[in-house]
Amino acid sequence: MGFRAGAGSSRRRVRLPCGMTRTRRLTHISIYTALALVLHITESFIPVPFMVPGAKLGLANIVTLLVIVLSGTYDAFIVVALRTFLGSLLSGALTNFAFSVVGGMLATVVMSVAYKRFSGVFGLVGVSVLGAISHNIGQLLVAGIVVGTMGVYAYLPVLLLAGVATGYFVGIAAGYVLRFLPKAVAQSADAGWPDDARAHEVPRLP
Amino acid sequence: MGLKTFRKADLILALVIVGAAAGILAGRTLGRAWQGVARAGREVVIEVDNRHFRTVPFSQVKGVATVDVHAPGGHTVVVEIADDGRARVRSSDCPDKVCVKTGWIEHPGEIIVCLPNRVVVKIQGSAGASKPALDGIAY
Repeated sequence: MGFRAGAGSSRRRVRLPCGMTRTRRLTHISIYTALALVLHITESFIPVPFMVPGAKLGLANIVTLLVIVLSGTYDAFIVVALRTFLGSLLSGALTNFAFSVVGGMLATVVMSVAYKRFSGVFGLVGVSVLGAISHNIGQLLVAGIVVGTMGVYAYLPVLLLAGVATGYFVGIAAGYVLRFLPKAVAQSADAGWPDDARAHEVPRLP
Repeated sequence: MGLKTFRKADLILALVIVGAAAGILAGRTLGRAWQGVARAGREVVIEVDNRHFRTVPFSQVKGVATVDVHAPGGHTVVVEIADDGRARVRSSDCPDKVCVKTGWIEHPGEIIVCLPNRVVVKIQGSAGASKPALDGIAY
């Protein structure tokens, strides 16, 4: 307790929730990555009822959102980078990596800003919707570079509609996890969660 | 400041995005209805033996125009050009008639080839207005 990563080094400034040791942080990142990876791969088995190529449920975004809330932006980037790399490696389509990583990173940036600066305005659902649509925008950016024409953005409205729907769902799911996860962990260990996570109230379905 | 799952702004955000996306889609569907206007800038290009034979803009066609294309070896390919922006090979004296069976073409980039007679018929967008368009996207 009391040990802070980066305290003795100027390499990077990472603000850790107090009481979080390096080992605990490493463990958390690993668990989140494993969780995100499972969701990333599992969702490829779930057929999307309406046929929109490129649209997916974005279940792994639940974990990204959790990490942003519970561990911060820096850890979220690590988890997203690991998840997209390992996910495309394991699903056998390494070409998907560029799509996933750009979309995932953009989503992480946008969600972090939305959560850190505008959590008084947006709830988790709003943050998640913003993340979903920025994932789509990032994806199409890569698609545009691959195809050589930004005409692929003609496809954006369809993806936006799907993104709002899945973002909504992901936000609610993350809300439920945040309602129970910090409490469950806090009971089993002296985990230092940020105040925001403790203060999370019972989500109500709109 | 507690973190909430759902705030009113979330619903507004979702509605704005859905509205914008639906608006763009609706606008594009309407825009497609206006494509008849854009068709005016298109033209039919006929090539024989890799050389340019004739270019016919659709705007110069009234009803259905017929072009007799004289191919090497005394062969003749009859090309029909309709003012609604379509073209086809009506008849050809080649053995397999692939060009005739191709039927009508109407989009820029579409092409009819009569290989035995070395005749190519293609539709071109007008030089200024031709934007690169996607045939399809695969994931």
